[in-house]
Amino acid sequence: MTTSVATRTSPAPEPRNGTRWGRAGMLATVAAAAVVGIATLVDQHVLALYLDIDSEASPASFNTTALVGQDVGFGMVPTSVNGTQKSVLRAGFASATLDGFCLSQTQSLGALGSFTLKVTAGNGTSATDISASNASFDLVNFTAADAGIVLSGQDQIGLATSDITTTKTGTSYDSNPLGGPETSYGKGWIGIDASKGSFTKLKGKLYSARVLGNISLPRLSIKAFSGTSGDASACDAATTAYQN
Amino acid sequence: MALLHAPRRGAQRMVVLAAVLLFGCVMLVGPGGSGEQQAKAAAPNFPFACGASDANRQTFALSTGSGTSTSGSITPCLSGSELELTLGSGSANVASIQGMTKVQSSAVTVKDANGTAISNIWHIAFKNFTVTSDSAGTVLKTIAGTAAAGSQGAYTLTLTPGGSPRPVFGAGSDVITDMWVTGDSVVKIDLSGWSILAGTACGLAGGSGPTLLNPSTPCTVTVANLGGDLIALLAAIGADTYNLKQVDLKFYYLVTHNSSGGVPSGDALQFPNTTVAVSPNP
Repeated sequence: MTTSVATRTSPAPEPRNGTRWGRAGMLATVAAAAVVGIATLVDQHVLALYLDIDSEASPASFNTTALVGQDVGFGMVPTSVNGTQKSVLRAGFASATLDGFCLSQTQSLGALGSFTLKVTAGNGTSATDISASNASFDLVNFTAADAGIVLSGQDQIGLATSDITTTKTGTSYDSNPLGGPETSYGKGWIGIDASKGSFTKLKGKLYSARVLGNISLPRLSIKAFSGTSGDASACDAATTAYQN
Repeated sequence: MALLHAPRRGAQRMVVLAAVLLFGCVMLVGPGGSGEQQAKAAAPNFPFACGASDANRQTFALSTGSGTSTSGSITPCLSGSELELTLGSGSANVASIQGMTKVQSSAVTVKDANGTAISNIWHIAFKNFTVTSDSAGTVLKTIAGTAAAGSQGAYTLTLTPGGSPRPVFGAGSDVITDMWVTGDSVVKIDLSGWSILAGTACGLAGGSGPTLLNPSTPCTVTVANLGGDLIALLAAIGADTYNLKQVDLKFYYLVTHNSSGGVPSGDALQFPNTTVAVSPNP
């Protein structure tokens, strides 16, 4: 009935352009509420963190003022990035504390331009404020400035990634916690194992970040910025201050 | 209508983008749990099976830091990847080292994770190997024996420290560093302080280079020829630290420990101002 009246008395409706504010706003509101809830749960050590970057050409960038890990391992592993096999350096920590953390990724959305999603955490003090257990990162490259990388205790270089030990079940080390290849028992995939590792002014690029144990991220912030400069600058950009 | 929408286009884009990205963020997190709950049950110490019945695990005796004596051992599952540590050009002193000695008097054969034998390997040990010059150009990288990731092929892992403070390969009073290196690994030692005896001292070390007329020529020693007499002589006169002009150590395994083979207390390996990179081999 309504359709019939409209057909008889009104011209054809003009094609609707622009944003469906109601729908977008509803989506954004729900999403924002979910993120706030998740941020709260992460802060309360309830949720773990998974991040996988499926862009071979655009790994995420990160930085932290300091990272101290207990039972540390670095091992070469193959991994699939958007269907392409790549060799990456997987860093694993039984537990780690960080002084601030910043993670960003820039995506080009065609005519809309480039946008940067940035995740930051830290309480603003110059001390470790983030904690995580059973964490691993698939790294493309990284730099550690000033004191750089300091490996303490019994350190090994040259063992297979699959032979690295980090996490424990009870008092026994878990087998192959970094998920190193087990074909040929890990031959050709080299690793570094240390009792403790300290990293200063760490920044670089990664394809994956996973925290399977507890994680605490005070003042967790997730924001989207337009462009690639200013607030949208990548976390590993030279001009970016380390996130406290 | 167009005029009404135009000024708000940027805001529109950001709202839509934020909505999409925020939902994307939701996918980043999931139910957590302790690492203990998700890990496999495992045996203590070396839980990974290195070959059938763990048969490919390599046993290495560890140096006490005194001559050829050993105490304790370690049993890694070797990747079989060869690394190279290089620094210096031979023209200036770039590092110092204490008591570098050959722990075993003959070459040994070791096995990698898959049981492949690697021959002509020598066990050396030292203390407090410290880079002393910013111009050292220290690089630690894989040079052979890395595996392929799909069609990408084999990889090179490179650590490049630089600037001050400088790298240390065995810091701390109780830290001893053991390495298993190839016989053609080379160190160039500065023995110019021995003046006309430099050539004799170099000979005691198993090397060659300095002469009566040119005592400042670096003493070039290949590990296969490295002798312990220089170390004993230096220790006897209370000066077991000497300077290095160049290092080219090719090795399969490095471990830091204390004199009884246990966990040392020091910050054993230090790589300041360091870049770490992974690249596919050409």
